[in-house]
Amino acid sequence: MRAYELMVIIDGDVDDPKAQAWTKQVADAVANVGGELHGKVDWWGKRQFAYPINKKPAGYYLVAELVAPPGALDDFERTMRLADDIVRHKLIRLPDAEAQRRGMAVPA
Amino acid sequence: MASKKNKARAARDANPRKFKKKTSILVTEKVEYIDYKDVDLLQRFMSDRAKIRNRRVAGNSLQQQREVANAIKLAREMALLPYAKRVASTRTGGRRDGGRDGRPPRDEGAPNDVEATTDETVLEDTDETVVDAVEEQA
Repeated sequence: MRAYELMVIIDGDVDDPKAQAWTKQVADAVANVGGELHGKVDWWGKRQFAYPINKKPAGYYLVAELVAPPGALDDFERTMRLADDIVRHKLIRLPDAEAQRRGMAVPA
Repeated sequence: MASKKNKARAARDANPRKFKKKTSILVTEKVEYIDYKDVDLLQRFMSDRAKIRNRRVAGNSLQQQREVANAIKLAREMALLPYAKRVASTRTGGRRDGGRDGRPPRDEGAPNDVEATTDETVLEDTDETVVDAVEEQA
């Protein structure tokens, strides 16, 4: 199991409830592959971009900390890449020291 | 320009007490993990044109600088930080063909570095040397 941090940007033109539905989708996807969310999915709400993406000035951000088996989220990343609502996403493996500091259990 | 650099180095070696090594704000603020989401922290390692500050100016170690740079690049990808920012310039009536549409001819660093370049009359010809001089000043 490894500690990850996932950030997703959802299209700013999508309605708020529809965008927030992605928090559940992320949670479900993590649970489906045998992973575990650390705390809740952090919903940042609508945030102004530092530069326009696809000619849009803002988007919804969400951040999730999670523990999952290596490679288990490849499929979900693919669906995110194909989803029209998702502008960008980033899945980062947290260094072990940082995962420990955040209190994320990482069983070998 | 190489000779200028050597001169600076020589002065520093001759009188080491005059030059204090700069400590990074990562050290003074005890940052353990450089998070790409921490925009306020990362912004302090960027110039007002949103360029990444060099190691000498920021006072980072090699490793710190790499971590800062990577974090800034991640933040840029996620549109948390800009790749480039236009700065309102105080300089009017540029040299060369600049000033036609109200912006400086090229990116030459912050406008408050103007006096740093003016005393280097020898180094007028190329932009690289001017930028070098600005960096030496900082």
